[in-house]
Amino acid sequence: MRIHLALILLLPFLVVGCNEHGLSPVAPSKLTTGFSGTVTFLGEWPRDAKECWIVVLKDMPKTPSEAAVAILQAPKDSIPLFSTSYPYFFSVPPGRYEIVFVALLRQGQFWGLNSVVGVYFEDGDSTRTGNVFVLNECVTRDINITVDFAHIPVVIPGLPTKGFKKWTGVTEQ
Amino acid sequence: MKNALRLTYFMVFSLFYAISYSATIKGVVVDRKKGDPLQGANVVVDGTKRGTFTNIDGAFSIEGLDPGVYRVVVSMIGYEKVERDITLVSATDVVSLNFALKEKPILAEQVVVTASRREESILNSPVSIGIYDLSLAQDRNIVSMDKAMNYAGGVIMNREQVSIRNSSGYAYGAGSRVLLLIDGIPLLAGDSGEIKWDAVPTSNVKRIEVVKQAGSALYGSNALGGVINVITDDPRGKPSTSVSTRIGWYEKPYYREWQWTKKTLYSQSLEISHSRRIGKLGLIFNIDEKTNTGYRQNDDFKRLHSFAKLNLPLTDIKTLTFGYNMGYEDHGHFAMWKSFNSPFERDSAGIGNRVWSFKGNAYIAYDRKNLAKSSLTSLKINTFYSKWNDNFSDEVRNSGNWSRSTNNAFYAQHNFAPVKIFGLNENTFTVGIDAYYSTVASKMFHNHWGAGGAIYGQDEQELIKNLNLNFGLRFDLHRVDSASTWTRLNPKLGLVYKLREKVSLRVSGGSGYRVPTIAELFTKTITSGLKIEPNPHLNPESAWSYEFGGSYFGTNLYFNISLFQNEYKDMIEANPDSFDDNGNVIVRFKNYTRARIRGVELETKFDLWRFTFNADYTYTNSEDRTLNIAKPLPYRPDHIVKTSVTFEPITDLSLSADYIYKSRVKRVLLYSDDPRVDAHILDLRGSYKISRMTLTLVCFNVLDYYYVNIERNINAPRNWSIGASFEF
Repeated sequence: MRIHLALILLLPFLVVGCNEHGLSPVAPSKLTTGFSGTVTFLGEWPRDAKECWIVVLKDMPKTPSEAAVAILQAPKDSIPLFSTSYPYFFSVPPGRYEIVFVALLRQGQFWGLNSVVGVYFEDGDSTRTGNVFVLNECVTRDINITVDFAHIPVVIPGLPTKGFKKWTGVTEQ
Repeated sequence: MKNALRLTYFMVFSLFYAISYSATIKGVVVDRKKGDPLQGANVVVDGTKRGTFTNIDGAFSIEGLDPGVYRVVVSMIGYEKVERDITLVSATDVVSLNFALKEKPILAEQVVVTASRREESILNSPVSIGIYDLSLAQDRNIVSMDKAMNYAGGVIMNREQVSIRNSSGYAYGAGSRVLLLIDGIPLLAGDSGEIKWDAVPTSNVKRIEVVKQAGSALYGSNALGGVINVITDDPRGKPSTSVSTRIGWYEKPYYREWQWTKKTLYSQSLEISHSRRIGKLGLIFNIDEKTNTGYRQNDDFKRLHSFAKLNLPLTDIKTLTFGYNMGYEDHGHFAMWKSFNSPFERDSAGIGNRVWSFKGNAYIAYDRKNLAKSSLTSLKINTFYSKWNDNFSDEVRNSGNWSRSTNNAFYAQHNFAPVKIFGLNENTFTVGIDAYYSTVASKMFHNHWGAGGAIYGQDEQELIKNLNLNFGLRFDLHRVDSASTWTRLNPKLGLVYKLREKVSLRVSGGSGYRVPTIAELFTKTITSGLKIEPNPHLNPESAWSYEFGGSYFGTNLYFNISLFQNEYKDMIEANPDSFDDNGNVIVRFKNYTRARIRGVELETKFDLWRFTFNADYTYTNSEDRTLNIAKPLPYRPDHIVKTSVTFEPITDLSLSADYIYKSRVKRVLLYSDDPRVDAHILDLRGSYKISRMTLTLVCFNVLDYYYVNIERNINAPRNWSIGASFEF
């Protein structure tokens, strides 16, 4: 009887002890660092849309040539044409990213500033681009961008425009 | 004019002391097994509110009783309560009564001092109070009080910050919503307002009382979320020396991927205590040294601590006490893990970061205990000094930082003997004043000063038979520099109804508050990607606390239930709200407009055959109600379960298991994507006493279970500790 009582009292500890160790290592591929959000498209897509990309730049370019190089080398994600919304995720190293934007290439055009159709603005403030902060092994969420085809091209605050009319960007990531 | 004053004086005091009793009960209280006199035993004449406590010789005397039949009740923590009926035949009777108390540490009805700033039975306390003796630490081979508090019911430790019933989250070491007292004297640093646990003694402690509701109506600022009072031993009659040593080691982490060093990670401690009386002079001296490699990278420490207490009885009723606590620490700094798959390593930039600190208090206390009338006067002067420096390097501080703070305080309190006024039942009055002045010189906080004072009063009386009223009021004034002045009036009201001899119901309500600390107002620093920014516009936080509960103290069973609710206004919490240009998270302390913490706590202890069972369950629902949509307050688990079972198969052999469960924290401030799990921690321990030596073996975290309390701070893997203590 007394032994039974002892076992009953110890039962909760024995149950919990069934090879359960709480937190455990995860596959490195599952340790994601980056940011995510949704691109929402308003209005009608141009019929001659050829390619659409979401682009992230670590630093705001200071000169047109610097901007061209940065954009060529920037991480990009292709957006299916004629989407109404597109959830995206960028896997990037921890740090601050000064500008995230959506660029659209139309038939017969080259990449250029007039390809920019949407920019991430912090708290909806269109006078300054929103910085995106990414922490190690964290996903920064809600980096949302709205593309309104009725109001393009978009002026990017802080981005140099002089002598920088066209981009000849790489269309593959 | 002078005569009129004398007459008024005479009338007022005649009113207060209009007592016509004269018979006397006197005697001695001793330990039944050892025969040692017991100092501090509570002796009460039941139904009269006449009572006293025994002196260093175990003697007591209660005068001023009418002829009649009385029941004398003697109680003391760790001993069974004893009752005896006597008859006083005439007004000149002097009856001698001697008591031998039987040791019974678990279920004896307890006497507490913290809830009402005077001695009272736990059944008469208007708020929940947890009582622990030193076994909380010693039986577990624990050498720091913060680790020991992990096992106290309703208490959680978020790193070094204590939270009672989820009153606190995690504030990066700034401020404490729980007031720590050592022998009734506050021990919070003048700059950060945090508890310096390494200055708290872990030996020569008589008991630890944990008040689980706001105590600001008696203790002022910082007692918003409760009070922990560490009550140290009194010097022993016979010379006694104890030597304790403990050696511990950490196992490798369960997962090979997490193993980060081939070195053996260990801890060791040595502690020496001596207690004796030289004539009437009593002395306790303690010194201890602790070394720990830590179980994580750059998380090692070395500590040196000393504590002393000198009791000098001036007369039978007057005692002067001198004492100090001091601690020195050299420790590495582990802020956050390097990566989820390297949770025991920190980022390489911070390796070598160290903090050196010294903290200590010295005090003088004068107590006048009128044994006959149960009145008590207490005066205390305390100075607390704290300094630290580090070698951190960042863009704000370049290299190194330091801070020094001093807090000088004066406390005076008088507990009046029970008196009848205005035809009411006997009232027990407590009045007191506190005053402090603190200075801070710091590279991190800059130079500041703070000063304040308070006056408080409390009345307790039996309204009707078995229904006691407790009413208190405290007015505080605080000033920081010449810019901010805060005043606050905190009332409290409690009713305790003794339903039966061993059953009581209680209801209480009161307000609490806390003024922001220098650290919360002025910290400017960067550490491990966190940039703490000052917020000199912080306001004090306040709360209304309510509790309804009941307790049962049976022969072999103790049960307590409490329903509680705390409504906070301007709650101060750390708030990461943006990033700087370098990607550091900017954290400021801000006032949350509204927050609510409510819940229920169940506590039971019982003996069954050779088993002793303790269990405590706390459910809390905590809400940040600043916005229309309430969200959980960070770092607070909804469910906390703490249980322990002790089995004593033979005399002097004890086998125990402790199990702690904490539900997954719903919200953290940073890294909310990190996986979080419930915590299940099982410890097993045993002790065996051989003559004057006690051997203990403890296995912590037997299940090798891993969780995080604070983001990116993993708990220790399974680890062991062997201890031996000798007393001679």
